[in-house]
Amino acid sequence: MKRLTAVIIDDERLARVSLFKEISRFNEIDIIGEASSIQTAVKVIEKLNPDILFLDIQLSDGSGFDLLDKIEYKGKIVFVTAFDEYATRAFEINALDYLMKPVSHERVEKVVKRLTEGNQVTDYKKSGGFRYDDRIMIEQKKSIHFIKLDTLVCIKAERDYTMLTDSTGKEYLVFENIGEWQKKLPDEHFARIHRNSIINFNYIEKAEKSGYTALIFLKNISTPITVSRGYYKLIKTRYFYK
Amino acid sequence: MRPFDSLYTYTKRSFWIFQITGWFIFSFYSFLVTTTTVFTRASGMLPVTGISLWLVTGFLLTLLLRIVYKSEYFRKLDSIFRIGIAVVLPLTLSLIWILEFNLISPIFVMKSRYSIFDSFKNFILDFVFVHGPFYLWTFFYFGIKSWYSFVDQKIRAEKANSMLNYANLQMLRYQLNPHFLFNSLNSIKALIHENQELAERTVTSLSEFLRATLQYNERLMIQVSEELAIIEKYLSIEKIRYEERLDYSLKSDEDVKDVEIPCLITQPLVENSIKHGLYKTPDGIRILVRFYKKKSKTIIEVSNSGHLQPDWKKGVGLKNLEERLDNCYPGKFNFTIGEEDNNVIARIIIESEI
Repeated sequence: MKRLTAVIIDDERLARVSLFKEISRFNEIDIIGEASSIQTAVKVIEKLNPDILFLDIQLSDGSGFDLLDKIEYKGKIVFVTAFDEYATRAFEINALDYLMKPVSHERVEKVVKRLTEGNQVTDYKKSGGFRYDDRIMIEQKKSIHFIKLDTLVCIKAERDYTMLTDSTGKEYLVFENIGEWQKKLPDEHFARIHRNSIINFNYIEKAEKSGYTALIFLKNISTPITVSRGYYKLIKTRYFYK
Repeated sequence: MRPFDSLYTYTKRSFWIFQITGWFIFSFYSFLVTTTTVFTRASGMLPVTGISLWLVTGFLLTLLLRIVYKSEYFRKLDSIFRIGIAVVLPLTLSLIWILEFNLISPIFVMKSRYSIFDSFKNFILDFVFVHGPFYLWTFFYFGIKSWYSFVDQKIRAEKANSMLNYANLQMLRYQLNPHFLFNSLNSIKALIHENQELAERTVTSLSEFLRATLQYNERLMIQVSEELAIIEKYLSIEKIRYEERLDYSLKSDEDVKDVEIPCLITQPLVENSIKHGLYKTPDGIRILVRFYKKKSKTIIEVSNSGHLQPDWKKGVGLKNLEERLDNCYPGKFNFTIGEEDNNVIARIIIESEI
């Protein structure tokens, strides 16, 4: 059987030592490298291209989620954290594997079993509704991203897919239809203003009437969204009297 | 809003619910009495329109009462004058009401035909139906008002209490940072194999720090020397986690050692230094904690090498600290954070001892 390769990323040496000890009890996983910061992790991952990342959430120069935005990585990820409510919730809603420090032997065993059997499920679709401060995992062709919902500006339907745009203007194509998004997103911040678009109210820059339709301008998005007068009224009551 | 909220707490609707319900019941009773008693039967007519008009007038007159009772002018009066008004005003209004009753109702026209007994009966009826309602209304108005203010006060007291508890809990939670606790335990776990002696020492330091945190009380004062010992434990644990990235030293002048300061007041400053100082600083930082005296002022200083972020602002931890200082030394302290010679310095100046 081929052993899986793994890299440990944690900014504390003793934490790496401790995790190394726990994981090396299992023959199925071969730890081939380690990194203490995002900067070094980027290089290590590019060079070694491991099957698994054991990734701490709080690193000295950013978070584990930030690291994933900087690299092209499509392998498996096991998050490690001591205590972080937001991160733990992110693992839970996205049904991800994670370890809590100090890690227990039984928990590592479970995670290793799941990793070697190859049925690590990462699926936020099964979870209930999202909170505005949640992070959702978006898998792209070559990379994995964790997008904070409060940075999500709009979602547009494109056949069976949806195109997500975040506040920096980055776009992500996701295999999920717009109706599903509508059900999950918190409706105090998001609303479906058109058959094929959902917007985040906090990013509305201006709304303009034009004839029987209206135009909604969003921050960082050049083309406005055309909506009917009915939706314009909805925006008026929701946005202007908030 | 739940349908009965207006009954439990005073809302804009409450008054109208009582006003309308009260008058509805009274109207029902009035109709019952006026259509079944001998007077009306004898008169041979059902004074429905007349009675309705009379009831509407009554309703409006009670609104007038409310305007008076609610007015700023009335509420500012002495209680004796207020009672006076509450006695005279309903009586005056009921006289107007009697006048109207006489004009519209055939009952009083019939009065003369009846004996003394009936006059007495009429007197009772007059009292119940004409003077009574306004006094009853006044009684209910003030009764319900004071009931609401009583309930409201109770709710407020409960709220304040729970907020206080919540604040205490948050404070404790902040002091006993779970992230710190679990990371320390994790370090110790690794140390057990690597350096047993250091592992043992760290367990002791962690216990002592935790004990100080648990004994922590908003108003507890401790001597500078004790505070320094606790902070040293805290830093020694953090040093094990961050190793060569963290360097520290603590100093206190002889003349401040027995000065009393709020327990663990230095800890959030040190925690901040580590958190912000080490962030994106792979080379590490040096933290210096100093307690000293300048004239009659006690000064607590925590500095770390590095720069202040241009967009920094006080977080919850520092705001809590400021609030605590304000509780202990109202208006007699100064708390600043600034940058001096490539060092970020947090400084608490306490003007005089208490």
